[in-house]
Parts: sequence; C-alpha cells; structure tokens
Amino acid sequence: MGGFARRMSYFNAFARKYPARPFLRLDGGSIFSHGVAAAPVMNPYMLEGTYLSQLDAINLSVWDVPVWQEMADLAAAGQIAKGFLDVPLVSANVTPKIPNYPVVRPYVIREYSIASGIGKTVRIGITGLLFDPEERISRRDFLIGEPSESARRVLDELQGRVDYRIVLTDMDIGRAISLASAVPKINLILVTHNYSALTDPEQVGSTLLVIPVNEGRMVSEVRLKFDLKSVNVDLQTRFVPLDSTVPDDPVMGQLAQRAHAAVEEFQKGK
Amino acid sequence: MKTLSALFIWFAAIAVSSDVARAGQQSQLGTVGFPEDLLGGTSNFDLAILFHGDIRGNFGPCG
Repeated sequence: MGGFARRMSYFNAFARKYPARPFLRLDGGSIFSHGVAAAPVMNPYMLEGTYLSQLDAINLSVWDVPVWQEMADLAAAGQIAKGFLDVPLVSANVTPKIPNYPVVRPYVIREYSIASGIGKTVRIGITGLLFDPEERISRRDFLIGEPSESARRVLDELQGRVDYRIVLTDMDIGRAISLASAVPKINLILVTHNYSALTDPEQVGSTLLVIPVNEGRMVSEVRLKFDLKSVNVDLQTRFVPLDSTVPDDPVMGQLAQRAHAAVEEFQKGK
Repeated sequence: MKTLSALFIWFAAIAVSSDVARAGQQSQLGTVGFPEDLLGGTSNFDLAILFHGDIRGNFGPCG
C-alpha cells in the first residue's frame, strides 16, 4: 500500500472532484528511510518524491534531521538537484546552527477564499515540533527548544494573523494530549509517531488529534466548515486507503520504478 | 515488404507513445479510473487537509 504515485493520484482526483475547494497537503515528517543498507540509495528518491508532491508544510522530525543534512551535502556536491531541497520545512523548536542545512521556517501561513462566504478568507498557521527527550540530535549543531514553550511562543506570534492553528509533531500520543491541554490555542495536532494501527482522530478540549497510519498506507483527511459568525468549525474526518485500486500518477509512478530499479541494483551488487 | 513492415512498426510505436503521453496528461489533471468511493464524504466543507506522516522510505507501494 501507499507510495508517492498513489498519493499524487489521490491529490489530483480530489482536486478534480472538488474544484472550488482548496486543500492543504501536510506531512508530519519521518519521510526518509533509516537504518537499512539501501537507505542512501532510497533517500534521494524519497526527497524527489516529496518535492514533487507540492506539500504545504513538512515537520522536521528526529528521524529525518540527519537525512536532511545528508541530502543537503549531496546537493552541495552536485549529486542531486539543489531545487529538491526547496520544500516547506517547519519547526517551532529547531534552529540549525550548521551551514548548508535546508531552510527551516518557524511556521507557514496559508490563506484561502472560502466557498460559504463570498469575499471571506480563512488563514491557516502551520508549525512543527520536534520531540527529542533522549537528545539524539546534536545540541552543538542544532538549537532545540522545549516543545510546549516553543509552540506557545510561535502561536503568540501568530495571534491575530491566523484563524486556525496546526501543529505537526513526532511526539507520542500521550505527550500530544498533554500539549493540547497545555497550549489550548492549537486547533489540530498531527501526531506522527510511527503508529501502524488505524486510530480515529480524538478531540482533546478544543484540539483535534489526528494520527496518521505509518508508511503512507492511508491519507488522513479532515474537511473543515467554518462558521463565519463565530469561532466554531465543523469537521469531518476520513481515512483514504492507498491500496491497489488507486491508479498511479504517471510521473510519480516512473519515479517509483526508478527507485525500485536502483534498490534492486544495489542489492544485487552487495 | 521489409520496408512496409518497418514503417508499420514505426507508426505503431508513435501511436503507443502518444497514448502514453495523453494518459499522463489526463492523470495529471485528475482521475482516470480513480475509484469514486474513495472520494466520498461530505461535500459541505470549505477546506480540506490531507495528511501523511511516517512514510519511512515507502516510495511505494509497500506490503
């Protein structure tokens, strides 16, 4: 299941079915492969697929921090296209101190006209939070803030500038519940913590917690209906399985074929 | 005869590659053979958010 080609196919199908409705494409992070021999072969393809997916924001997770560095090094050495690093990485609590690291923004804001209110717009603020209690990421190379404090600081900065606030994080579900209680301004938290079970989104106070199924097997979807006269938002959540009934997007399908061939070649040469 | 066969193969190859190119363009725009039931749900919404996370190297598809 899963994969870039099926995900892009779903993005395109969604755009065609609901042409007047905007949609955000968000990734909670932990994109790359890690700890397997073929990872250095696979990861440039993961980067290319991520770039081509035209995402609106990507969280910087503990899992991905060293691989983004590797990708930047490969780009500096001319081994992959530098343009592939032009992706919207967000983090409220990570500041790279090392040169040549991909750009990490504290947040992004997206603004959309909404169908139910002529001339009305809604502004969405999106940030990320890295969770690293074991300090696996070098504090010499990265400035890493405490997650709740960092989230609060960024949301204060967004005060009055956005109508809906999203946090993407790799913290576990328990910590995310605590975060929702400690920082009630967050409207939605995406909890990317390698859960393989299908878990329905949960409302914690005024915050919706969404847990994606790992390895991209499904797209988690939230549809929002804004009440223009109040702060209320109606929502519907869905899971969309990216199984074999979903056709491949041709461009992404070719990318996956190239990636499979490269991994096969690498494994033959071992 | 050989020349005619070669021409036929050449034209056939052009037709196949054109079809592939057209299919690619259509699919880029949307839903060629996309299962309609996966696009269900309420149509009464202003904005949708599509999430992924923990892809972990699955350029796809995995098991």
